[in-house]
Amino acid sequence: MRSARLRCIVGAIAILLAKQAFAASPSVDVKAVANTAAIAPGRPFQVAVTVTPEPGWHIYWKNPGDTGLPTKVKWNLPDGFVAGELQFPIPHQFTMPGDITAYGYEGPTTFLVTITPPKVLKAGETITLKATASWLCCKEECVPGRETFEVSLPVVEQPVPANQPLFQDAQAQMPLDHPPTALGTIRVEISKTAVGQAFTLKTSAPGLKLEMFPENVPGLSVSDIRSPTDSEIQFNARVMEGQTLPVQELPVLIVYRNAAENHAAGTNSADSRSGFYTKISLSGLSASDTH
Amino acid sequence: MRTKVMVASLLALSLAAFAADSASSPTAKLGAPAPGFTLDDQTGKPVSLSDYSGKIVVLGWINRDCPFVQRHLKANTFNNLNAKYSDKGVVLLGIDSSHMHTTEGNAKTVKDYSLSFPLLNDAKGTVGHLYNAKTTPEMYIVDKDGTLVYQGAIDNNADGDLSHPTNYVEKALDEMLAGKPVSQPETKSYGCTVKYAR
Repeated sequence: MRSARLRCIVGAIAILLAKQAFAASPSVDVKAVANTAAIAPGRPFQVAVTVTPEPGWHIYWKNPGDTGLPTKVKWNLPDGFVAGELQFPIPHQFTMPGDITAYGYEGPTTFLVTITPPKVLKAGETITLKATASWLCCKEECVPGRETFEVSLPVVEQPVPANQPLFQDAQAQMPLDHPPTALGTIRVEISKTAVGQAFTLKTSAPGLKLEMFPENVPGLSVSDIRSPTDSEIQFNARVMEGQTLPVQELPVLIVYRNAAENHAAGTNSADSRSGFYTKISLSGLSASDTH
Repeated sequence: MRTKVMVASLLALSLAAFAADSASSPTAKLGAPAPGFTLDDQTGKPVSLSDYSGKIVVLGWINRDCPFVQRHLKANTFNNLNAKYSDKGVVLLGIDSSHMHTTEGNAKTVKDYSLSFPLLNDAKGTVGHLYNAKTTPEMYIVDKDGTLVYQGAIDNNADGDLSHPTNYVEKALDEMLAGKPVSQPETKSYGCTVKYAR
């Protein structure tokens, strides 16, 4: 009887609560589902949080760029449950008047998070995962928003996969955490400038168009990111006046695609780009250029 | 502003980058004389940076439509700053570089939020570009000698959820008034994009 009832719960149930109202605010839809219909003790699973801003509006990557705020998901989990870091899909660059650069997303954007349940859970129990997603949604103007949601899942002995197509699509938009072999070697050249260093990243693989999205390092100013050729990225970096760097490396997301393909900027539809995270040494900057 | 350099060799790259960095430019630079300007305040009266020579001048980029600015307007961040330092030789000037805003609109902003300082109209974006202002709010401090000594965020509270944020502008002013150098002359500002004309 109990297991029959459990089987009726197909997929995860997302309940949208506490929709915050703003005058003339863009509609932003939030949906959350798990990749399992039921969870088992100690077995990690994923939750996909899909944030969909109104057409023409955008939300932000983990480093929003010159302006904006990162999209965040803050979990309020039952005892013993642990949420991993929010995984951001490959972002797009938006350039606004005044040479202002932002990194973010238009259209439905799916973030992933891995949740690990405790080793001991009572089968038959229903677990409710609560979270609040928050964002800044911008077009001409910017409107902050937040929405609280829940995902409820029953506890079983063996987890039952669910929502697999959605998770496969979401995973395909995620950067890898290491350079793919297809890209060949990426050579980094560093030279000194009056105020910091100039970096050139070059791939040996032919026919690829590179993009670079730097993560935010407090006290580091990364500017003038440009592509003199498809296979090259250049940028300048310097330590801000009076600041010291908390880390010795700049984490960057390198994105690449077939240079022959047309690319509609700012849209997530049919995104054929791939990406991976890597780190660029800042040791030359922190050693000699701080004040 | 955007420099495109063809790189033939590492040497060429370093030379080109050096040239781009050292090219004499009229835009604001920390430690250099702050570029002068004249803009109309909310009553239509021209206000020049040079009107305040010998004083410390705080420039604050404001756009009443921006939720980050609204948060500070409602919390009286700018009025409180002005009240705390106006009798210590510090002048606060608000600047609005939003292309769609007018002097009349600025008069309404000053009235609606009971601003105790002038709000200057830079709808053409000239002064915004001169100072390379990218966000609202974004703050600059010009010292008594006309040197730019601070640029960046108003505080470290981008999310607005800190109960005891550090106000970088007040910290810098306190140091300056105590005869000390500004310990944190540059921070990353946060907020909305300055709404420059396309």
